[in-house]
Amino acid sequence: MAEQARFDQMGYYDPEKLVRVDTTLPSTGWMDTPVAIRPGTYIYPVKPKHLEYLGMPFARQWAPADPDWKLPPNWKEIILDGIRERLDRFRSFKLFMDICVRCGACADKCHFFIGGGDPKNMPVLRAELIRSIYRRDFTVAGKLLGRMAGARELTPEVVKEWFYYFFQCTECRRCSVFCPYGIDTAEITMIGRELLNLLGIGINWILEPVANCYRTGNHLGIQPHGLKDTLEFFAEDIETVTGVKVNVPINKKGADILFVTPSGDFLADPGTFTCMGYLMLFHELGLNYTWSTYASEGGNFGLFTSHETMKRLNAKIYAEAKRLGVKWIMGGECGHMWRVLHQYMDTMNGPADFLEVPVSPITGTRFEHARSTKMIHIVEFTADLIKHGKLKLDPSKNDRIKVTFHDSCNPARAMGILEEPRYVIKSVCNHFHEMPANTIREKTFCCGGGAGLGTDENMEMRLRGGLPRGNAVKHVRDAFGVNHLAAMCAIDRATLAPVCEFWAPGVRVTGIHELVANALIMKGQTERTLNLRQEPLGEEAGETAHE
Amino acid sequence: MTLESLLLEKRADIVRGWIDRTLALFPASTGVFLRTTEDRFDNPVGEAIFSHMGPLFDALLENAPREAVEPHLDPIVQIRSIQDCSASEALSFVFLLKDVLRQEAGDALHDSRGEPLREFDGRIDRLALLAFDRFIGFKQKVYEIRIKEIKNSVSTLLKMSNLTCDDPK
Repeated sequence: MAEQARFDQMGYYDPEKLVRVDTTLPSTGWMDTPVAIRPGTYIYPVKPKHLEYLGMPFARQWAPADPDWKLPPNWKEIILDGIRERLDRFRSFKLFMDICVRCGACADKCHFFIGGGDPKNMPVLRAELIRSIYRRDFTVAGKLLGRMAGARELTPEVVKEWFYYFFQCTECRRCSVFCPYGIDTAEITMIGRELLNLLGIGINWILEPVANCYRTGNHLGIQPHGLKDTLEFFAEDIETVTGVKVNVPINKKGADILFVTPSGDFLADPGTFTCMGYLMLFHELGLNYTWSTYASEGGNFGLFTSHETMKRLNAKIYAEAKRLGVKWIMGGECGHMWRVLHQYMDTMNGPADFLEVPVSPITGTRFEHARSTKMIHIVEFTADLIKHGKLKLDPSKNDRIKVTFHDSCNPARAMGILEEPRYVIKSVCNHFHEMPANTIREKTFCCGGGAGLGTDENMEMRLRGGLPRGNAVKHVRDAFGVNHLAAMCAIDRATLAPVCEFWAPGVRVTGIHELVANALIMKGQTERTLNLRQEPLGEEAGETAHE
Repeated sequence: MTLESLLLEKRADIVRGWIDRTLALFPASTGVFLRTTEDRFDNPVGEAIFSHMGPLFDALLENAPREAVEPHLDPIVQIRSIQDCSASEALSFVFLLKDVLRQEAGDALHDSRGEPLREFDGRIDRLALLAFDRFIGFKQKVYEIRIKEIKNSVSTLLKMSNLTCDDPK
């Protein structure tokens, strides 16, 4: 009967047959599951001209979806030599290759794994992609026992796998928090990317900004006159909103403070409003500071490329501080910039013995923790101002805003700036609500677009990675009516806007100093009725904002 | 006994079977994670599957209108719309319910005349079509977000050049 039945007859659905249908995936081991590289699943490769400009090797046209990636003839030797060199140079890398016991504590902590479910995005397995090569070529057990010891041969497929997965890690280090050995998977990703760069394999969204930064001083390639126009344009908008014409000091020799911020704040909403906030704050304080058209980038995509590239891009900050003769340096609201400045700058391009330990000219506070780097974060500076009562603030101006705070991975998890941003936000906003404890502070979930992944061709990948963060934002939106998410990182301000729009519609992204500026009472201001976005300020709101 | 009352009686087994089959769409180790990690913020995908598939089945049983189905369909389809799989893979979980029904209520279904089951299959098919609508809606949202991000990334240039135009709404 079953054989003769039509699809709309009962007999067509033979229950016996149906239960035999196997809907499980074929279970091959990870080494035997090759990566499927399809358009829409990868970030576009670097254009040859950028590699040439930077003097990086093997510039060529190639496409990730092509079977042949046009690897140089001795590509294998280059990679193995590259690993050998890095094992000698970086003790951390050697340790991380050897000490993992595969306990799995990190496995379910990665936002890409949580959102996407691909086991190779488990940090332990992502690291195994390199470790398996290390075992085979650099350990006796691996040489003798091969697969039994978790070793495998280096093939072009392995290189493709590295490209796919090392550009699906945002180097956020959430996994490291849970590793009992303290293995920093971000550093493994960094080495993986360095090795790929040796073969001319990188992504355009990182290396074009790197080339721009090397050429013009910032990732976006804004030239000096362009930067001047932009800041003056902001000043005009500020005058419209406040009636106050703010100073825009640029390349001012003899200023006390050099101010450096990520260039995303110059061009991209909503970072632009945060940038206006800096201008207003410094003007109100009468601070003797300067912007620079040379050191016009706080971010450093060299961090996502190689240690050498990071050093080259970072060098301009101390060089400019020296040229202008400032006393110390202040950084704007940026995430990975802070890791570079705090963790690497001093040893890469220091000592900055021509600078002074930062002292706030307004409060007299001496920032001892920065006595070596001579650079502080603006949120530390502003928190200190508020603590000493040096700002006239009217938090009710932000009463339309119910805000939560996203701890950016680098300032929070890597550098421990946890309290200052909260203190500042609570001082300028009456409605603040934390997200759940396992999604903030050192356990914060990444935006999904850090470490150079914030481009648009991988939007689905970013939204997968952004799911855990978006899910927590949705929770505070539904529970407390939160309508704004504050973040002190330029990449966050760009990448969390899509994450919120997709997972928690109605929640807008803001920088902290945008909120400060809205609440700031300036000398000589007209009655403030508009915020920096030129929307109504004040109390009567209640409605959820829509982008 | 009507089909509905039979399915209601076996609801727990059917929903469990449907969830099991849906989890089996993921790699084995991922399935374990989705099943065992209880915190909703550490495991939003598992949470969506476990908390919405039961109510989704109930909505089918009640032949509920679209507005009552969507709140339980959307969380799952939205996640599937941005995971690394084809559209057919993403929405196959809907059709798995047909298999589960026959597995869990197979004997009883043999005794029935087939008509009620075919009617219920029709509900599942309509759910699949609704899931397709929502899936496309989420994909479209992704592309709108892409365009918006590109505009936002150069917003100052657009404003300085007077090149902005927004929906007056």
